[in-house]
Amino acid sequence: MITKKTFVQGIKKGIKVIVELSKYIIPSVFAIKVLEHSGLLERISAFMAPYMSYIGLPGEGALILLFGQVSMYGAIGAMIPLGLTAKQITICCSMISICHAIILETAIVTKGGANGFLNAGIRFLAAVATGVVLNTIIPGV
Amino acid sequence: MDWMKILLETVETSWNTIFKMIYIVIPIIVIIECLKDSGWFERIANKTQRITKFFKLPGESALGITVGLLVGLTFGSGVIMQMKEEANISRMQLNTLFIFIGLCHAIIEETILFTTVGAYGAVLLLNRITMAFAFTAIYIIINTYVRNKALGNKHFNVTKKTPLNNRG
Repeated sequence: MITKKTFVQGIKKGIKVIVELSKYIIPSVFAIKVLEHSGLLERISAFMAPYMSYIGLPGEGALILLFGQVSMYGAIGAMIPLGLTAKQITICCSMISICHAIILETAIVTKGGANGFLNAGIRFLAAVATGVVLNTIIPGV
Repeated sequence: MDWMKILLETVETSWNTIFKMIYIVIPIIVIIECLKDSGWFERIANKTQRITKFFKLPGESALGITVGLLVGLTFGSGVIMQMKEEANISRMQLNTLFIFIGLCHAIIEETILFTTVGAYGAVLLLNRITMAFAFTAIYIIINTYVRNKALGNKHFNVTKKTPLNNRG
């Protein structure tokens, strides 16, 4: 039954999510900005660019995918200051929505009684497949 | 390095994003909470039984899949753990269930969050559901194949062992 309590609880949970979001977004934006201003970002980007080109991302994409393994919100934080195109953002988001916070979620899955390694492996494979498929399907840059 | 500039830029970018998300996230979570309290999940679980039938899972797991899909992995896992004690479910079925939910959970909230950053929501959702079905199906096929092969090998070994034992 929907009562007043439902709405109160919903708003409370919403605020909790926003707080959680800020906890991850602010540090990741900060980290990316520091990397950018120190010139390290360019070097990492140049190093990763050939590998990332298979999934249609610039070299910085590797960092977003890495930040996504801490938390999905971390990836969002890393994505904003980099200025990607719509296609790149879609690929990035799709990959991260499939394979994010892998350590934490594997722990949940293992606790639920399934094989954690198998689960994490399949999620990783699915993310890579997503990147390659979407890169060929979505038109544009 | 200009630390002041870095700090200012961080505050500006983060604030813009978080402010945008307050408008979107809180209503969505209130709606999900309403769905939870109105008993809508039990009703929609009847429809998700198509998914469980497709993967040859017990019908009781439909509620776990629904909650996992709409709310999140933690809640879905909790429902499945409760269900595990009541229903007769094998390890392979449990793996199948968790691979599906692991690939595809909290689809409303996460899709909308990513859409605010600038992704195409429809592509995101469609891709995720397709990948979940595809990889769960691949897991089932490989698992059945490997198991059949292992059974076959055992049979083969048994027939081969008899003459060796006779020799000894």
